[in-house]
Amino acid sequence: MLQLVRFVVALAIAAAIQVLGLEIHGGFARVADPFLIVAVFVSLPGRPVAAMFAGSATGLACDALAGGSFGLHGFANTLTAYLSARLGQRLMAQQPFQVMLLFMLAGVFQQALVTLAGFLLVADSELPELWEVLARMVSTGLGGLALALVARRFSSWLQNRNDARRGKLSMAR
Amino acid sequence: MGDRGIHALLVGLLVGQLLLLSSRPEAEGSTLERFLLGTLGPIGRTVDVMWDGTRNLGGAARNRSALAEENAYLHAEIDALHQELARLHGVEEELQRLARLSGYARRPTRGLFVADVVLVDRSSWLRTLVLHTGPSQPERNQPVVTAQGLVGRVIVPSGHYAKVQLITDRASAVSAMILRTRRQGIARGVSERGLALTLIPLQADVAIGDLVVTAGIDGVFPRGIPIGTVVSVESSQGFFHDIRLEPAVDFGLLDQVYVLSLETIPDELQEVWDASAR
Repeated sequence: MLQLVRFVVALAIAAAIQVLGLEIHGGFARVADPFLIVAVFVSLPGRPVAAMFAGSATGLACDALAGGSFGLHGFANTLTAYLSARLGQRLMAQQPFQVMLLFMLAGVFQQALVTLAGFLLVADSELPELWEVLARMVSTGLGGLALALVARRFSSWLQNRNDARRGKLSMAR
Repeated sequence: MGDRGIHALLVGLLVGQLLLLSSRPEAEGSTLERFLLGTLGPIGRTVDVMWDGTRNLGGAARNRSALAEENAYLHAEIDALHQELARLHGVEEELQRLARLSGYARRPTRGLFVADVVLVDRSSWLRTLVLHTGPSQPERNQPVVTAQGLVGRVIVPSGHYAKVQLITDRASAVSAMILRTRRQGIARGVSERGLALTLIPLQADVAIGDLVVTAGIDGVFPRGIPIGTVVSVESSQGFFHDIRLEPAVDFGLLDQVYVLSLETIPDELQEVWDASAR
């Protein structure tokens, strides 16, 4: 239940970042995808089922706020998150460079899927420009790495606090 | 869950997404899409309001000295607009009198309400606009306009939020008319800043600078709303001109828009259509 609450909060923050990004610069959506970062972050520990549902939820949330057909990012994010989870299982990504690389690969793969599904299933699709692909790859990598590092710091702080509390309790007994 | 179960779940989810993608949407978007829009809309609005507040605070601090000057200018502008409004009321009354005399049945004027822009993505190929319509409930296909011209139409209403298809969206098509010559065509979105006016024959008279407005024959947009201005006319190898338009509205400056109410179909006409359908 706590995991679900954390995921919903992360989704809300991603939506807020998307809106704020578009307020600051109208081209934000071309170079960044906060929803994808959340989906791949859930995939990092290598849990395919959680990753698939996270991918579906984040993708459909992105579709609800974006133009185009509903389900386009849902499809792409589901498959991207699943493959990221499988890759995460194999790589056991712990080093920052590995984590960043995973996010960057996910960013490129998701764009390719969106473009392919767009051309096959949606009328009036467009090919993204090369600079957009590169910018998205870099922003997804850096954003994902930042999220992973912050989450790791927070986890260790929480762990230390819980350990300290347990230590106090045992001393009290 | 074993590998087989995981693969089955993956296939199920992907097939579900593909069905969503390829299915014909309900009149107002799928239930899931409306639910997500209604849920995420308030988050977007909160961010939008906070951002506007932050900008106004900073702007007021920086431009304090210019505020009095701007205030005086706006007062003068309001006075001039009041005078113009009084003049136009007189013109409207004269038109109604002449219409009664000649037996000309004028179309009723539409109501409208103001909506706040929550999110505008005008540059990616998935161009969209999300509005907060306040106490009013939006409906699908309601035209969205500003004082400058046409913005788009509501495609997914959800509670007090609405997703709008911009006229610059590649899937958008608006019946249009060159105001000077009354030649009709279709205005289609082609890029972030551009529109194309299609189906204008090579022998038609069209020049750079011509104003293009809605023709009012597509059943969605009323006649006479500015769409854009002709910026280039090229003769293609086919039967029609290749005409590009500069949109009348600057989508980068959208803050508030007007949503026009749908025209109600007269009961007599609805009865005729229903009878012929049976």
